[in-house]
Amino acid sequence: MSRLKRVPQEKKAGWYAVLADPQMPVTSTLLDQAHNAIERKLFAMKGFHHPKGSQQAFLTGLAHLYNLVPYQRRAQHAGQCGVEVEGGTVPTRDWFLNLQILTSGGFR
Amino acid sequence: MGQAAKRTRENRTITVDFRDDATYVQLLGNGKAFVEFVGAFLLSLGFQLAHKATCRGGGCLTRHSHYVRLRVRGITIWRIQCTTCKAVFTVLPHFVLRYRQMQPEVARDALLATQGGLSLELCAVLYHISPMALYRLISALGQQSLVPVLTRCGLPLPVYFLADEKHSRCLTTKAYLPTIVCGRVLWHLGYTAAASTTAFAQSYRTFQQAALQQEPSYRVRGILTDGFDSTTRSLRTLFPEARLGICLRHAINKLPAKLVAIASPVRKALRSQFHTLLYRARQRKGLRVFALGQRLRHFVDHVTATAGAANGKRVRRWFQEKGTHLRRDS
Repeated sequence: MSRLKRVPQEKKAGWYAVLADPQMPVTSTLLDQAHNAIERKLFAMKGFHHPKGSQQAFLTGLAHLYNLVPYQRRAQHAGQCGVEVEGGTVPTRDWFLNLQILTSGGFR
Repeated sequence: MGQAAKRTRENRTITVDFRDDATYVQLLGNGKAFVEFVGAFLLSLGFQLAHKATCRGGGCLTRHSHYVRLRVRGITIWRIQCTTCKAVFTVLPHFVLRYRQMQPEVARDALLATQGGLSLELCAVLYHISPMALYRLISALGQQSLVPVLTRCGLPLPVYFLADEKHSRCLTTKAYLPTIVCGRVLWHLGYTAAASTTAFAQSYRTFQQAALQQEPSYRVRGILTDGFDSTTRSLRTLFPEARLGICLRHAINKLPAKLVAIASPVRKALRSQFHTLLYRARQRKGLRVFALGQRLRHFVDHVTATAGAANGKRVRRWFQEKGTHLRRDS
């Protein structure tokens, strides 16, 4: 009995995990899209690196832009930012104002 | 007697949309109307102010003090205070950027151009600012962590997500960006100098801690990676209860490399068959786990028959690694 129970348990990782759980993402396409978007900015910021630089803050700032700037003009999610596409709500219709409000620091 | 460490002030700046400059100037002369306007704006947003930890709420806001931003047209900035916990909030009108002289219109255009892929240098030339000013503006936005900002927008913490690292270069040294994505939203973008399990675990831990701070009962159910050892090990350490999956697209792309010394059309045909196999396994609703194992075995037999025993052996070993090397007991 213990062996029978153990077999499916052992196979839950790797490709099996992807197929065993219907809610599990299958491919990393969306992550690759984000990486490609960030890669272009990293190439642009090459001259701004130094050992004590604020790389982490810069990257987080880029991530905020990635999440909050609308990225389509004509397709299914026209005029929507990543947060809205995923079902979130933003304070106003203006992405820059949203960015200012959400990163201002005085809200909980 | 030792000197007490200097306490850093908490950033309690709130940006308020006053519609236009004239409304703001008009409200400055009327304290009650000013506070009421700010209160109405907060209600419309539905956000809570970051009061002190001891504050139970219920207090009202009052005007506290003001100062003048000489370099931004000499504009007056007011602070408001919670009467209960005495926390002071700086009310920044929407047309002023915190600690910056840059016009919001210029900042908006420059950020949009940067987001669109234009280099910092070109953005700076286009909008008559220095590249470093733009760099600092983006860094200032990054002072707020991603998780609180996203949960403030009503997004639930991700139960299933994609995790991977991006290899990049920081001048001459290598840098790695551990990333967490759920759908179209970036939940974590870290920066490490090493690709070790420890370094990645440290980076992913910041996300975990931020998430637990938002929701102490937060649990991850599934994580998809590309199978990179440091990533999977660090995630296994941090999220022991989560299922760790490996991206199927990476698998399809890696198969041709396992098939050596065969004709290109044969390799392409095998890749196509492998793609169909994974796609069909994904489409099935029941007993997919067992069906996949059987289909993979048949596929290995097919590879052995068409591409030779050496290739078949290599593919079999690779399948076994992908299926079992992440066992919890290993």
